[in-house]
Amino acid sequence: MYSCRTRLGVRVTDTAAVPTNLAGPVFALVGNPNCGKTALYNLLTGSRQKIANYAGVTVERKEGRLKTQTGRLVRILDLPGAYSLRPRTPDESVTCDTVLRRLPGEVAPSAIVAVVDATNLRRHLRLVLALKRLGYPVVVALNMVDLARRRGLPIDGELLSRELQVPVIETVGIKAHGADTLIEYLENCATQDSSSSLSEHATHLSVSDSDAIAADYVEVERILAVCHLDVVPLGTVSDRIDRVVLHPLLGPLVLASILFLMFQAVYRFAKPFMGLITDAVGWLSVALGSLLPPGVLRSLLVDGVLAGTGSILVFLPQIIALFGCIILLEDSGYLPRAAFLLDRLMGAVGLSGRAFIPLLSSFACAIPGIMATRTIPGARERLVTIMIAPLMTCSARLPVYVLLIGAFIPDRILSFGIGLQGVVLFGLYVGGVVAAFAVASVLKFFAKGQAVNPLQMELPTYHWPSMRNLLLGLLERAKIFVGRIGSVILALTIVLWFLSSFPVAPAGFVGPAIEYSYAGRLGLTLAHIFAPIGFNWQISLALVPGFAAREVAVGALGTVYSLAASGKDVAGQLSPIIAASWSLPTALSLLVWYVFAPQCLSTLATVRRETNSWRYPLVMAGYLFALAYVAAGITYRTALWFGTVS
Amino acid sequence: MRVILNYNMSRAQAHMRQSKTLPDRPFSDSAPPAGLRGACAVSELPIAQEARVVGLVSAQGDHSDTVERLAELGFVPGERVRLLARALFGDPIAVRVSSGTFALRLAEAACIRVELVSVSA
Repeated sequence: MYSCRTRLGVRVTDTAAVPTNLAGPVFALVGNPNCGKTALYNLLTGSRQKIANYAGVTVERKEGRLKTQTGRLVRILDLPGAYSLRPRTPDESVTCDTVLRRLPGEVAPSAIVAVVDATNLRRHLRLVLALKRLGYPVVVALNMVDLARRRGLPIDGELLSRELQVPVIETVGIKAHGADTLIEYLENCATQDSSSSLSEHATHLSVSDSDAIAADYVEVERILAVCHLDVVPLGTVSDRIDRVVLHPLLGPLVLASILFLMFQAVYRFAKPFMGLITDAVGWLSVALGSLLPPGVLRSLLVDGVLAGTGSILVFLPQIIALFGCIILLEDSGYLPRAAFLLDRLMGAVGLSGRAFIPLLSSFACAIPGIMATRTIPGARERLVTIMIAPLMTCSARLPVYVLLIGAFIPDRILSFGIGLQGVVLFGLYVGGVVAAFAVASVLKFFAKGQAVNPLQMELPTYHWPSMRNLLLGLLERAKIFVGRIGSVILALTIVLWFLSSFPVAPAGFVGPAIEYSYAGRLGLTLAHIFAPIGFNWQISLALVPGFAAREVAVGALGTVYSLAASGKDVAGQLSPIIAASWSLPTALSLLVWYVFAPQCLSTLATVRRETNSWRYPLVMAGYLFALAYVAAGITYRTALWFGTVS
Repeated sequence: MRVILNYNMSRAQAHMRQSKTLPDRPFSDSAPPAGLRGACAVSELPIAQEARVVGLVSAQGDHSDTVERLAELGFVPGERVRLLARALFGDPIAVRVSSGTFALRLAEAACIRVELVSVSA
């Protein structure tokens, strides 16, 4: 849910927001996957689109603007990577349809910036030749030149430009000023040519015949020979790392250790910071409580706003730790290796390693995960991946897990410094993964005689994660998390406070006042459905706003219990309250419920958009609800039984 | 087995034969070509041994899409390849082609016929 926000933020600069009558040429960034198109796009337009070291980070088209010094506008299109102009996956289709002008109503490019990885010229230049043949004016952005030179490749932009017969501009997409020459060039284009004269060139658009493609292979070999670039690097650092990481026995061990350490880190790193936030929120609510006279306003601020938002804000350090780990994995180039190691396992349930990256993204949020399935070539495999993506525990569920684990699981160190709470958290994540595999194998049962899913997945060169990228990424996450608390969550919290406070119970009402309110009555009604799986009316009520955003369930509990509490319980101290008032079976049941819990509305909306049908989101919500109910029920009954036995 | 020559590879090969001393082997549309008999699938190579692609074949006719994409990724006759790693149970494999690395399943790897460079030299 967090990364989806940045993705949705993209829509601001989408075609709808940019008037189509704007003068100025439209340059499309086209190239093979993982050659640094989005890094260049960010440099050109000042955007902060996600970049990482694997093929298929960008899966949709984005438009941004570059303002020249003379005040003219150059429009830049960022497109998903494509190996050729014959698409095999939905994300490649986006690129091909744009370049071949098959999208009526969408802005067509008037010229192309062919982004080329200087360390991988052979494959990348073939696409440049194919683009040239389409009739577009092409300028080559020779990216990663620093890396290529460090490897001893004699890169000569001028020579290459002469042989390719198009301008070649050297760029370094990950450096702050790496695209300055390209910006200068685009500015000149904007002032010299009008957009109409540029687009006149691009008239005969057809994917050329196989003769021309065969000729491309010959031509690329000729160019590489002339430029003395027809050498293959031997024994790079990446290869030495891969000897361990891709090793049939060591590889899986490394993978398991990385994932396990990640969850320990989420717990251990975050703990001291959580304490600080809890104290601050507690102090604020005491201060507010003593400043304001007792009454509606104090109740709204202390019991509603502070108790609701404070109980979620506490989880900021955990979210940061989780995203830090994910960004490091994405940026290093390790993810496709993990997919390689898991391909066989995923093959057993009818998927392939290609489904791994969308599923891993779903640990952050199911929405970008579901978007990332566009990189999967097989329609059936893509659909199955979409259907199981919500079983990966998204970061919005983390607050719920951490709250319950903190309240009910003793904080013990098992051995080797491994904490029990971290192990339980890891177990819940594993539970989701196991469930996903089980669902996939059930779905495999319905698809007999299907062809083997292709893998054909690029394993990029490793590089050190960029600190700048990491810090910017974390800052972005923190902003989104706090922003959500300040907007959606705050609004829901206030609504919930209102519903929980009114109508005010009459003087003669027996029982807690909150049970007389709208929220109390709703909770008590819902409790009939959830009582068999051990949920009290407060939990049943908290599940409702949880459909809008998972973490609001925690905020809702904060508000409900804060209102119900008679004394001076303070916001941010939800954990001891529930530890005292819930039984262990109830807590375990709720934990298991959240492993499966039906999806938040934005996920269902994304599924509808990506599958172009209401059928799949409805099926998804239905099957997840059923699974959650049954699994939570079994957990509750089993825990009760153990409780009576011991 | 059917040899796929969608790309009219013969022209590309003619060039590569001159420039890279690829052994002169006859290719034709009729299966199985003599040139592929001595070759093996890329998955059967010893780890880290340099080999050359001699041709792309498809086990079933409907796989031509796979073959086409493999060619686009760089698996074209004359190209140098190297098996980097096999996963547990031998599937999938990681293959270096030119300066890129790709993970391939055995079904895909079977389409890529190669021969060791040392054998042909």
